[in-house]
Amino acid sequence: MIVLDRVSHVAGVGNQTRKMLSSVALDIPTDRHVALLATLDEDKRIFIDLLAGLVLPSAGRIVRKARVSFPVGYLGGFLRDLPVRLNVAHVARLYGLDVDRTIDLVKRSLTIGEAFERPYKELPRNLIAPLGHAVSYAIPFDVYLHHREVTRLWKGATDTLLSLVAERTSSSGAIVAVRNERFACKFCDLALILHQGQAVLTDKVEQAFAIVENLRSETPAVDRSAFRAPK
Amino acid sequence: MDRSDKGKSGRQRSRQLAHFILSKGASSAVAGDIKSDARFRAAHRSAPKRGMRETLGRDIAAFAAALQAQGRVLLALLKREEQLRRYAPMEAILNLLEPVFLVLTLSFLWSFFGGRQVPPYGDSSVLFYATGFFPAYLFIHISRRMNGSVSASWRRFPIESRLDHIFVHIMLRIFDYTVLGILSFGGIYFLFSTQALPQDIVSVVLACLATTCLGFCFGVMNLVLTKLFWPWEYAYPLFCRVLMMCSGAFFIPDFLSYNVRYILSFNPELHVIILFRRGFYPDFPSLTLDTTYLACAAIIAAFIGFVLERITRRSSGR
Repeated sequence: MIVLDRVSHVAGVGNQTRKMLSSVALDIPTDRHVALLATLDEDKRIFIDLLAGLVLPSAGRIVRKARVSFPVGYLGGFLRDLPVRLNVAHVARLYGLDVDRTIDLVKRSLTIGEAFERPYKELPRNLIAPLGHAVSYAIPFDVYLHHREVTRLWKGATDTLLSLVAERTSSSGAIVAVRNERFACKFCDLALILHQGQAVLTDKVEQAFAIVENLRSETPAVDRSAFRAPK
Repeated sequence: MDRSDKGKSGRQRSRQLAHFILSKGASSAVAGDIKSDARFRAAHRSAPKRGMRETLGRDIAAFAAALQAQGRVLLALLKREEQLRRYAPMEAILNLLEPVFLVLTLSFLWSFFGGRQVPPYGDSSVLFYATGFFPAYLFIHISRRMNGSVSASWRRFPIESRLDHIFVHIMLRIFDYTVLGILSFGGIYFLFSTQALPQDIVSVVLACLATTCLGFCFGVMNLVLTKLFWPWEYAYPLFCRVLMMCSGAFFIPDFLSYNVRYILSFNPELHVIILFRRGFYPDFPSLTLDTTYLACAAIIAAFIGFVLERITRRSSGR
């Protein structure tokens, strides 16, 4: 479970700030597949970053009573000058995994070849996304956070990666920032709606999309000058 | 009912649902039957109340687990730094040799080209200046290099915190300077003076510990001020040079006039250098040295550093 304890967050900088969350107290289950919806797309990304711990809320606290992943595909902690293999080893050590097994699993998940021993900065661009997913799914989290739904296969992915993704998806929870209604209805059994500083959890996934569309049409275009940063 | 009416009622129903959902309190709202949540609550309600001993045991276990996780992160970061040095050895060697070069070059310059043939104290000018520059540069490298060593929040994994990177930076500087100390003072011992072997290693270690605490505080201050006020990044090296001048690296504070000595005695780095030199010269003039003041300054500096890091954590991202 992820517990949001009176969480407030102000998004944006300088004059372009707005209150994204306003004293939200919510318990998000981590053993379900949750579709994250918002009237502003940017809010979804920021909310996922908040849950992951990449960003701290402006007020309140987020208590993680489960092993919560970083956003799937995130490789921000990789050092460019270090070989990919050693970067993967570093992630394994951070999360207390067996280093050799994790390296082997990631290597088998990709058709990466020699590039695995080369510095990360030399990795071909088309392998970065599958590498990010391989590293994320190599770690057995209780819940995986996604900035967006994955609806297509990557070129560099092997069957090992696909079966790893399937296994993790079936045994762990997920919180996915979705745009595709079909994906959400097929994959998710809960919907979390963010709107004007509030967060609402519902099991009516299909209707959640309709709600968000209505809310979007009702919400006037954001006049950023109207929002002031909290004192 | 025609089609437009049907659409209208559909929109009304969606709107009603939205209002229904959003009206479940301004804060917590769980609409619908969330089975796992209800089961969790039911289990929690029926669970017997734990005794104080059980709660304490559970808290201790949680604290131990958190410490273990913290240690794991620090070890992983240190291991990564060690691997980075192996993959870029020239950069690592240059980083290590830079303080050696600086300390020894300045020592030579001051001893031979400053017209001072007689060492200010002891039997070797090189040793005298090296014992002044060594702790001063430890402070400067910890405080000034912290900005470059601590990665921005978007270049770390969520499990790594800024404080972890700060600790790793300090540990690496201590390691580098331990190697530097052995190399440079060992070299001075064999080439210039047998006084280069510390007589009182405890004084040397305490001086380094105090300068580490001061460096930590100023390093965190640099991290914060550089973000708020970018010219600080260029002003701080100037501050370091002034600090070097006023810290007794080039002179013996006890030989100055009372008024000047009194003003300079407020600089904790001055006490650090005197204490460090006492480790090499047992009879070094140390009337100005106030170990209580130095200890308090070091503890307060460490405290301020931790407080600054904590209160600026949100604004820095993490």
